[in-house]
Amino acid sequence: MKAHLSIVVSAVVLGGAAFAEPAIDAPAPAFSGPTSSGGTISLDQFKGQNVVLEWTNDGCPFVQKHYQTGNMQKAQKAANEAGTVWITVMSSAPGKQGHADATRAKSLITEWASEPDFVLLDPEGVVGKAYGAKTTPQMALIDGDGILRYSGAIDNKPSANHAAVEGAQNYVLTALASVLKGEAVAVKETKPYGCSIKYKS
Amino acid sequence: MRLVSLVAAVQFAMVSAAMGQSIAVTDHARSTLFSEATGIAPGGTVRVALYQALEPGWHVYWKNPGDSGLPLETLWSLPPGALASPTDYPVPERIQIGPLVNYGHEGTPTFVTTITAPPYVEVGSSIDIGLEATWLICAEICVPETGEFLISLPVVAQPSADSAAQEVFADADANFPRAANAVFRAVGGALALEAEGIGRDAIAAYFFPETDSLVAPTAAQKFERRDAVVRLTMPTLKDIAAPLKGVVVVESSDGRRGYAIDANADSGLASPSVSAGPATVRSPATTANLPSLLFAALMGGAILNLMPCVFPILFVKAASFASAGADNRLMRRQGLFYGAGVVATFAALGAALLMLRAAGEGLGWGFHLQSPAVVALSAYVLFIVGLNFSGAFSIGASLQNIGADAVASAKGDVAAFLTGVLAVFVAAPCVGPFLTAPIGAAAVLSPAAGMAIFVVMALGLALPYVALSFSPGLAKRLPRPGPWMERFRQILAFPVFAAAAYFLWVLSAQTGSAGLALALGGFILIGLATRLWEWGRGTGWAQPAAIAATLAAFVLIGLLRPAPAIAAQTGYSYPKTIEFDVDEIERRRAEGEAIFIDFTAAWCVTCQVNKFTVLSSKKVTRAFDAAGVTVAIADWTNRDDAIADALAGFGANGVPLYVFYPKGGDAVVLPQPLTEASILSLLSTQKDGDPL
Repeated sequence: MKAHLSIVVSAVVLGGAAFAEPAIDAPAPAFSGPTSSGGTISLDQFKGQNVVLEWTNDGCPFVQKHYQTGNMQKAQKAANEAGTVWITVMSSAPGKQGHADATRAKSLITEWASEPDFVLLDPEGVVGKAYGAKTTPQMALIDGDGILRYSGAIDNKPSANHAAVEGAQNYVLTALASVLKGEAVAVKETKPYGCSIKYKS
Repeated sequence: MRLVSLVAAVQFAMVSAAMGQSIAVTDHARSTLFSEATGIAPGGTVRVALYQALEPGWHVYWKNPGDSGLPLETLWSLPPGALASPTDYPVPERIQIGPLVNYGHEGTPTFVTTITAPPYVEVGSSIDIGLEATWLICAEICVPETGEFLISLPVVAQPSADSAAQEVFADADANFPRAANAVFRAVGGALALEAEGIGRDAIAAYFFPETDSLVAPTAAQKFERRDAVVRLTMPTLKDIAAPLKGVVVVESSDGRRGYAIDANADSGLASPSVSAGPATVRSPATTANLPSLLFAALMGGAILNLMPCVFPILFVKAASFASAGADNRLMRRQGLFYGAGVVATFAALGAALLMLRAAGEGLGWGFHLQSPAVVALSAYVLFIVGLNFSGAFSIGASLQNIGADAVASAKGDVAAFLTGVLAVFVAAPCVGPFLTAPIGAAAVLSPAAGMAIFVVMALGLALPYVALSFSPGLAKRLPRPGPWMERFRQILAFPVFAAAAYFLWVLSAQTGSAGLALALGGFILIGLATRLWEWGRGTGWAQPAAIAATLAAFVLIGLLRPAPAIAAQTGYSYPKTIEFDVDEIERRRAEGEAIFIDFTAAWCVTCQVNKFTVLSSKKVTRAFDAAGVTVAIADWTNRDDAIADALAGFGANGVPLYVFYPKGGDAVVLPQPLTEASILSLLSTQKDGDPL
């Protein structure tokens, strides 16, 4: 009875927050939503696996840098080989740059020769806002216990110049390597760079 | 297909090497590099300005771009020995993009850099100033653009101003922030900034921090003005270290002006209390979630009826309905007087709290219990009620007759009202986890919203009893009065005595053994008074004597003097504890220690329960020890502004509150009710990577 009531209280209080700054090393915000292949995924179904979230917008030059140089595909491959679930998230609202329905999302993935495990369609921006996602590209890493281990930029070269891919330190892969080794993540949070996410409101 | 726009975006513009100017045209901007002078002297300086005419609706970014975006990037090509200074930015603007806020420039921003020539260049030669500038320009969509510029300046003994550039530099200078003096104070997730001499006609102001991720660009900043001093208060994302640099923009009827500040910490400033919770607390209190806060307040108020502090008093009161029996009208009347007592007391305490906070006092909910007099008074009243329940004395008639007799009289109305007052006072230490969110919000929202929360909480507390008084059907279903009720009433005397004993213990924590002795003396006087009352029944002398003895007990309260609180800090089985001290905690955090802060008070029942059942449990003690956590005890039994500030910094307004700083990490506020599991899971994330 008591416990039940306090859950109600904390839930209604949290319900008012629209744009959250999720805490690192705390449970990652739960989400579920439709994918480009017509199914529905939710975070809790990946318990026991590491999960990478990648926010994208095909019209953004910073995203194009990573896909046209093959940098993003390379990162996906490395993560997949380590048994990680890679979820590409599209949070652009309908009518705005980067918005994709299931068909368009599938053709983009083909065009990029990208191989994410899922493309999460988030036209209302719910998942993006829960994770405080501000830019494309932006990355998050959630470990097998559902704890958020990294949030921020993909790497340390905030530039749209294709040459900047060379020698850049990929933060999310570095964080993943630490999690896989059972070590503490050294760089847990960085300022993301790129185009602002084109939210509905 | 998208390749096309990219190629267009990163196109390199034509370079025109007119003598003092160089122009680059890109998709969304026309940019010109100007020199202020037509030449440069050996060892001398010249200012160069990158003037950008942006396509309407598009913007570029300030040095701290805010939520997204990138600042201007400059790559200078200068002859050996020549130097380029850091770039000066014009006063920024807030640019809202959906839910994000950027800091940037629209229209015709001008960025100025000072170039210094080496002393050994010869008059008659020339210096080439080359610039490759990259900027991100956005409307809603973003495009990175690059321009290349080259100016060739002759080396002359006496350079003269370039009249073609005069206007550009005059405009640039007018748009740079002017210098102003400022100081700041940052406490537990909140920042107060005061800038002098800039605000005489200010109607609004906003602080743009130079470093990103210090203050959320979306966070509201509270503006206040004292003569020419502008004060801004805002939540922070991380700890603020001096010097704090940035630009304060002041708006007045004459337009907007920017002031560059380089502020040092000043502990003399009034501490910040922010209008929205800091970002580390994930539940910012805004008027938007007022309905849910009000609902929580109503439910929390209703639940208080079941608390051991309140229940016995209300039960005995409710039992009188059963005996009042038939007269529904009188029952309703008494119910309403009781409700009025509850609401009036809550409203009075709420109004006092809000007014004192507005006056800058570091107070929070439960503040009245920080006064030893109020605590002693509560102990006395509970002792008297307990004696009455146990049958040591009775007022008027026996219980069976109270209903018929007292309800009808004006005395009955007063008694009902006073029962409401008493219910609020005895409920205060039991507030606990249900009401912390609404009470915390009440202190930071507008006064009107704050009062609404207090009143709704009062309605919740009054509701069950008032509802009972309005439903004769329900009241009839209460058990019939009889001898068993007399016995039950006597049994209920003991929880009331327990509550009185608890208040005595709180008093001993506040005033030491001397205060306790005074209060116990008061108890003896009260015991004597009840005997005098009974002995003198029917005679003229004893009841005045009883009242005199009671008054004497109350006079003793006037002699109470606060002493350093110690009791709230005892009872921790964990040895590694320190007293709360902001500087000490900062120092230890800087040295890489993990800190757990227990905000507590002797008068807070929930705090005491948590201390004995959770914080002092073997598991938690062992886990704290294994993780090397230092526990800081913030004891709020007596008034303490530093603790009140710290609570405010976490968006709270009362105890209990539990905050954990992991090694080198930011504060985590623990959810309530506090459980072993939540502490253990927090500590297990702390031990990242350690072999278990």
